[in-house]
Amino acid sequence: MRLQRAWYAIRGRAYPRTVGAAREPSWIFYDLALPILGVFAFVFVYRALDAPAQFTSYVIMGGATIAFWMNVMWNMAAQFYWEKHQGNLELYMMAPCGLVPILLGMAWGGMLATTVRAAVVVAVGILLFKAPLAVSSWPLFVLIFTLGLIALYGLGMFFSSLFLLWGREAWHMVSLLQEPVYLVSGFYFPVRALGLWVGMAASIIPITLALDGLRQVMFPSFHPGLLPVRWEVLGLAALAVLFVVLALRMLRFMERLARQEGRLSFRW
Amino acid sequence: MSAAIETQDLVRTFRVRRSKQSPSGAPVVALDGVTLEVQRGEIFGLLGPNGAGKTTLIKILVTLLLPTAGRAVVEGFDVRTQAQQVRERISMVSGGEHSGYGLLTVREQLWMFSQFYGIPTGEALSRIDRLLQVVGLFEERHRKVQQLSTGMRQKMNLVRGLVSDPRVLFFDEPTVGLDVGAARDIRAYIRTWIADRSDRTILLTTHYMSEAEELCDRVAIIHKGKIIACDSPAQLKRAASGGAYFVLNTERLDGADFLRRIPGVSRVDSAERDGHTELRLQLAEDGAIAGVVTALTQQGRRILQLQKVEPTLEDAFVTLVGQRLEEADQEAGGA
Amino acid sequence: MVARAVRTARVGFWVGWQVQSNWTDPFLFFVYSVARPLGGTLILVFMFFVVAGGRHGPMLDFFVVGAALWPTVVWAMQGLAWGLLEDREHFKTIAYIYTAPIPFWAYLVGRGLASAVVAMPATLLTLIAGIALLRVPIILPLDHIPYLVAAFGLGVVGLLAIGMTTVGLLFLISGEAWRLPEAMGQALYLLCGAVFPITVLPGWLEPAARLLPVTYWLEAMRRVFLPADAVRSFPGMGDGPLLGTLLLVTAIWAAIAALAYAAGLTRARQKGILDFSTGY
Repeated sequence: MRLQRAWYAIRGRAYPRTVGAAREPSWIFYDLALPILGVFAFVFVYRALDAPAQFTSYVIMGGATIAFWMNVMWNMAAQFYWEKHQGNLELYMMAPCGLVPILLGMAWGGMLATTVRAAVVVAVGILLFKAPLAVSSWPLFVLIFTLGLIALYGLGMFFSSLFLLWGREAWHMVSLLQEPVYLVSGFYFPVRALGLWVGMAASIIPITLALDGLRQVMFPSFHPGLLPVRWEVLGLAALAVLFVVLALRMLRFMERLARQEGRLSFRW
Repeated sequence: MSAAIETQDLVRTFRVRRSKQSPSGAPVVALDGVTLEVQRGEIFGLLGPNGAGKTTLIKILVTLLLPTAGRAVVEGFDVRTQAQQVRERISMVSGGEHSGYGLLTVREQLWMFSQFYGIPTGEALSRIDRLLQVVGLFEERHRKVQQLSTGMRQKMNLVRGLVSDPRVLFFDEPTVGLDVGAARDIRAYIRTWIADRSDRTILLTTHYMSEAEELCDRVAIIHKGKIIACDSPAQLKRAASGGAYFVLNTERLDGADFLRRIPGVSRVDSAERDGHTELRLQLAEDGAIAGVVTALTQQGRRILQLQKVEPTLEDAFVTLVGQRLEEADQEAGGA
Repeated sequence: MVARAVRTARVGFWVGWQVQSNWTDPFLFFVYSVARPLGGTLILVFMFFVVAGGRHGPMLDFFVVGAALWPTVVWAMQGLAWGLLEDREHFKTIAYIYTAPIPFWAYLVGRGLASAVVAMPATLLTLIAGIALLRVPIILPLDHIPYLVAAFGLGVVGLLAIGMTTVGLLFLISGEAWRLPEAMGQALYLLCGAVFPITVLPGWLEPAARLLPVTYWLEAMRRVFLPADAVRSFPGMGDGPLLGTLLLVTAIWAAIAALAYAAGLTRARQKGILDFSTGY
């Protein structure tokens, strides 16, 4: 019964995310055309440097990853903040399904919609720039991608409670976590270039290990990996567990604090 | 226990940051020992000015807020320790609510919320359609939420509150900001809903005396976190009728203070109407009106109309609180 | 008329400064003037080092100056557009400002200028970081100053013209209007040679780059700050002709902006949507 209700709630909350793509076609321009323009610019940077063709693939993967990162930041991390201002959060909190299925629904809907967008960015990039794409092991590729996605959306779920409690305008938090994250996670270049320890520290952001692992699977002899792939897979699995557990704990903490201090309902 | 809602010595304080407005940083007492019992089948009203504690009480009862002290029980479940069981049995609709997602249609939005209550899709949609028909929103079911007027939106919120078929329904200022027609429709449906379900309960907060009088079986007047009276509107009015009430229209007066000094005059409220002054007088007894008439005549003011009236809930409020609801609001706003 | 426009722009600048300036909040200053611009520059720096194997080279200087100037480009152009959107949808003041006896465009120009000034610390910090940490040979000989002033002034006018053209569109757009200035910024980033010489662009895109004042402005700024042997977008064009071309292209964009602004405004008034709100 509880599981069924949780499933209904996940499905219900995922619905606006998936139907939104059809309702607001402007996403084709803003969520596809804009990242593609960004990809173009960085591809031309590498061309100006006479870089090998694999770097074009790096940039295309970075561009696709931005779609996920922006979705996690704007539509997961900042979401409770918007929901609070809209008046939805109170209704969610008092719904018998609890907040966990609602968060999972947000994540599920976001993942589906964003995977489509990222796939289009990759397809356009490959077609236009003839970027090399040679996956040495598809099972490994899918495993890294899936673990990365779970860890990333787990991080988004964790941030959603954290941003809400922090109380700063979510807009500024999301802004802060753009270029600096693109830099330390190696969106456009191998993260190893930052040095082993910086790369290791940056691995707390799941994208770092996921991108590096995927690049190693794609260009085994070309890409200077941060760690051996199997270690990166283990790291991603650990991050996935860590962030999902942290997200659930943070959610409970936020809910308790909200009820104890009335922070989400009142402004004293 | 037969009561749908029961509170005992409920206290809620809020910590405040030290600021210009609150230099001491002393905690704000929003509820100060509230004890209530709301029976099943009742529409129970909470009447009070801004900041009286109405919304705090509702938020505790719907499990959004924990009490600092005391106990609150809804449908036999403690809001502190059995929040899940409470949530399965309640729903809340607030006035001026803008919840939901503008890009969804009315029907989709309501379906989404129904899923949070575990209602299978087929049943949810049939309930939604039936309720939309009842509130007169069926024709708009495929319209996007962002295109709805305020009144339509509030009707949709009402359906959202009802779709899970709650045992206890909480309304927080449900008609605030609505035009007369939309407010009347919503009040009419609230009455119908409870009339058809004798085992359900409604707790409603309102600012509008007429709404409380029209809808509620019993009303609690809450002021500065305390319940200062709780009874049926008729009983509350009776309690206030320790005197006589008159409405007097006269030529424009610059001030009414001289009337307040007349023996037997308990209270004078004046308002300008179409170039005249309308006085609402609370007197110790009928005979005191003679002194008022004499004083006005001596001031050279013609009396245009004089009528003895029954006390209203507003009069009861004034008697109990010592000021009108608007005055209490202004005091709370200025604090 | 000119005096009134200047007065109005001054008020717009003051409003923009109050809204945009972040000096008093260390967190916001860090986000917008330090972390984001430096992050953006360092991405390019590491892209360079990964390919160049850690060696210094002229493209690095090209990146640093372009990335340093980029916040000014984006904020001046977007600040003007945000001025309209914020007043229309957030502060809900557009009806009162528009109906005041002032040239509304001058008010928006003031908002854009305020944004450009707010972006300056980011530009300066990036240039300083480039000199100190990356040994970028940034110099400013005294005899370059008149050229700098002329080119900088023209560049700002060009940016405001692009911003005003965006405003012409925004008068008529609802829903995702907030993202249009961002889209314009992204398109400019690709086209105007901010981080690579426009000669790298495919043949069908390069002419578009040559139609933008920002392309010439960034080139002029690099000529002011970098030695003569630096990488250039217009290697065959002398400094004087470059300034002349910047003047010409800026004048064309000013005319386009005036037309777009007038057309957008007229259409918005016809449709009665000048002060509509899209649910910010």
